[in-house]
Amino acid sequence: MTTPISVVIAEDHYLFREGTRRLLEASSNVMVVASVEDAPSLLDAVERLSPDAVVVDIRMPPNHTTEGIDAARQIRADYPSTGVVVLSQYANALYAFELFQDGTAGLAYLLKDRVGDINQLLGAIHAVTKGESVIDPQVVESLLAIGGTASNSGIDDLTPREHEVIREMAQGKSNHAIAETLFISGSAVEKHISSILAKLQLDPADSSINQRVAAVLRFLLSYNPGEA
Amino acid sequence: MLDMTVTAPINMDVAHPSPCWPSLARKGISSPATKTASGSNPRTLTITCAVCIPSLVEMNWRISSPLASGGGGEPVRTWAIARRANKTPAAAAMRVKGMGLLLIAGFEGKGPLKVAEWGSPHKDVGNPPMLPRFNSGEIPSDLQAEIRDDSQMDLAAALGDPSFRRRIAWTVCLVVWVLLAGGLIFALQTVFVTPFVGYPLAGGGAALIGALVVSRLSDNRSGWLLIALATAIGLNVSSFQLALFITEGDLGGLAESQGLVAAGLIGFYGITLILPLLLLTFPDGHLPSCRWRLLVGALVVLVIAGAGIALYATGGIFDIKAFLGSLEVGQADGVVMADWIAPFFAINDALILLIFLASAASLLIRLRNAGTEERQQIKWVVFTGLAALVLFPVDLVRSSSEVVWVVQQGAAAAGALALPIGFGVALLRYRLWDIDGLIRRSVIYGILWLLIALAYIAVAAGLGLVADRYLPVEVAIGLTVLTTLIFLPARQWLERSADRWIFGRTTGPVEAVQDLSEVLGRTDRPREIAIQLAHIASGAAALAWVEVSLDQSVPVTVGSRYNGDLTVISIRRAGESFGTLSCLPHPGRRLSKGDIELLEAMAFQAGLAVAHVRLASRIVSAQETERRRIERDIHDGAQQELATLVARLGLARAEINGDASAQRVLTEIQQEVRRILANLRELAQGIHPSVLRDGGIAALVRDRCSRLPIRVHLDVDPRLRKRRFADDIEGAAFFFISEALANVLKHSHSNDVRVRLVIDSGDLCLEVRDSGVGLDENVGLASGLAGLADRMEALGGELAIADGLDGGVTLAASLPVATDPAQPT
Repeated sequence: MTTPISVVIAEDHYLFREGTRRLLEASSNVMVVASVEDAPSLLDAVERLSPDAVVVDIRMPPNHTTEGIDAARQIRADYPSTGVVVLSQYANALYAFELFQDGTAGLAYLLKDRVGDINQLLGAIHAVTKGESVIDPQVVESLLAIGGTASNSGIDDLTPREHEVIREMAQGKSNHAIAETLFISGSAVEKHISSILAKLQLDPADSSINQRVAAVLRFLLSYNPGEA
Repeated sequence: MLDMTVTAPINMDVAHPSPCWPSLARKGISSPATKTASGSNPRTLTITCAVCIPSLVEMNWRISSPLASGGGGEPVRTWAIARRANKTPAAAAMRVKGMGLLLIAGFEGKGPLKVAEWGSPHKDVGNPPMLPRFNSGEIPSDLQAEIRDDSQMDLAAALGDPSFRRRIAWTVCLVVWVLLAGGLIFALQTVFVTPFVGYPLAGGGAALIGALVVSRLSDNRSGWLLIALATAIGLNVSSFQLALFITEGDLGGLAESQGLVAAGLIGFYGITLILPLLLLTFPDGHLPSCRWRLLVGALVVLVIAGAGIALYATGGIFDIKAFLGSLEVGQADGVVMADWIAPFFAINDALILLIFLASAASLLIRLRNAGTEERQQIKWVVFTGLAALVLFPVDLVRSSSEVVWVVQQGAAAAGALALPIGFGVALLRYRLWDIDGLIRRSVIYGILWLLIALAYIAVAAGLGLVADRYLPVEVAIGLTVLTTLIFLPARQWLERSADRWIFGRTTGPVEAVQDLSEVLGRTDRPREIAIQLAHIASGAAALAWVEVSLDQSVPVTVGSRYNGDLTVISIRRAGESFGTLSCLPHPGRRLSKGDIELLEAMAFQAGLAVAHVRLASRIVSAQETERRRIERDIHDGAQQELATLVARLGLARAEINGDASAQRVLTEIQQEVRRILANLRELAQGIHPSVLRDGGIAALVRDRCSRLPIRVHLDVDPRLRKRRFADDIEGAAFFFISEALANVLKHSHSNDVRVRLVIDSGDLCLEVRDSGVGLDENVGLASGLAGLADRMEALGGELAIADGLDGGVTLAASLPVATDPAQPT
């Protein structure tokens, strides 16, 4: 047995927080090191305890809007070794786009009722600690719909080289890192990326949706459809 | 109508009208037909502006120019600014982003193209150096514009500098005076002392006034036309009188006077030409519109024909004695002519008379469309013209009494001078003297005199008295008492009527308040309230200018503003102020205490209506808040608890490891709870979507459209992407989108839908257009719209519905939003 994964839970609803904690602790390989009820205390706990993963609700005090997403992105930026599982009541693409703005690595987005199946939640926690990402099938559905009016996702049209590039993008790598991995020049990477965006019918001028994220999401969906 | 061709170094594509057009169309404003000239010259954009609304101050339409906005196809604002004092509005202007400001305005029937910066188009232009300020009349070199130039009767242009013109004017005036004086001297030498004392007087007056006008305003066409008229009169009078003197005094035969007669005839026909021109081009020197050119052309032809026929027909056998003699016995045909010519001559004269009447009528037409100053000017001329018509013919009636003769001559002289004086005041002094008051008094006392005279005549006729005998003393006394008794009420009635005619006071105070109540009862839009208040107040208190400004919205104005003391009345209710009503009375008039009380009463009424509208919007707002609260309660309460239940069931499943049947039951329960949770989530999202709260209207529309089972073309203004609005605006927009899409799915039988979101000059415009069955067959539509319209209107917005161009229905809504840039989200 390896050392258990240390987890911090952030959730403002007491019963749900405690339920999740007990559920996770029931499995022997997760240790809940703290459970907090809002975003500031979560960031505080992460700083103090450096957990392997965080389970966070989107909607928390004080504003009850998207505090969880902001906290998740901040944690990913400041503590790259901490994975984040975001739990939400909403399956709307808006939140997924918000969450994955800076990349998908180490992030998971699950609907709250997935906690009923402990294996799904544990799977997501394991995935994010390894820098992978998980997206709830229902969220996937709405992402596909948003990509929407263009019926074909375009993934099938990518060349093998473009496939390699988008796979590296999906791991959250920068253009430079992709160039090093694939032994190609930086400008070649850029060229491949713009070709990918064009094939996926993503508008490079559209700044509201991070087209890079959208491309990666499409890739993930086509790569591993259904249960993530 | 104005056709304007603008040649600009860009290729502009005129986008389909903004979603706000249907609503404008509802207000009776037609959308300008726009088209792109393609083919050989892709740089030409032709705007055919069919909009010509006198009260229109500013109007927007949109042109999308891919090149101008860097390929993004962002709509570029254009303005048409109509209405400037004394000008017929038919103007178009536009701004092209990236090219700076281009404002082109043309006025129908006006000469030079004006390029200027009227209106307030600078306000929202980000980059001032991009905006060249054009001087009036200057056209930038890379732009050429053509506007039909309708009138080039620039008499003054040929006449050099102002001082030279002045000298010419006074010289001509002097010559006219000499001619007239000569004419009078000859007249005194003959047995025919001219019956028309007024006629030469009119000429002298016209010369003097014309010269005065030209001295002050050297390029004023009316001044020059007055001088020309005076010259024609001088020529006519002096030539005829000299001819008469020669024949009378046996100084020569008819043959000797032939040249003089011809000169006199030319003078006469000069008058018939110049007088209509003077009336047609008053006060700005231009014809009212290009259509009148036809009339001027006809007039010139007729006058030349008339003079030609007269000169040919007389051929030197024009008997001046017979001519003047015939006038004296009331015949007009003094000209000795061949029989076959007579009918032509008569028809020609009749046509010239008709044109004269038409030119007089043109003044009345102008009066209707004129601005404040021009109205005053025209009123002076119309008033003095009418006075001349009444006074001038007085001395045609012969009387044996010497006293009567003197009075007659005086009246005739006054009549003769009235019109030139009218022109003079109109051109030089109209700002100082109050024509309206003068007209008012003239009308009142004129009618009173007429009534009294009629009363005397009626009584006299009743007593069977012969005209030149006096009434018996007792009857005269009784009559005086009687007229005094009816004088007062009659005067009051006449004053009210006169006010109505002259100041455009259409209603009495009571009627005005009633009218206002009635229209306020029909509307619940603050804008509409402001418009109605402005119009009714303008009519009720005889105001020259009214401005109603409610909240922070664009003020509504009626009439033209001039520099004067504003009266400002607050529109308020119970201490809460909603805006102001500012007004100016007609120049030279003051607002009476009664007027101010009336305006205050109307402002109070409007305040009540506005308060009512506020209440409606508060209700909508409260409803919105309530929806948000319910959604939050469901989310934080039942939803969380059910999710917790799912988690605990999961825990239970983990703890009772092994028992297969218990496991199965728990799994079933868990699935059931998840289904309930999913239903509850849908319910909460229907009450108030979290996407709207967290992402704004653009995100919501994107979200909704992604769930539709039909093809969706979504067009969202880039400026809307991250923009947030007030809760009630977002709620109403959500409500509109939901209802409109529900209609498309339920009733339209359409398999695709176009959704557009645009922010346009302070309005959030939403448009949902399908390609299914049109309005007639879309039976389920109307019933669902009432609530939607209410909600839009409560927020000051509006709902428009129209048949699409290519089938289907277009539902559009516009909601006024604060114009300040996006708040942080």
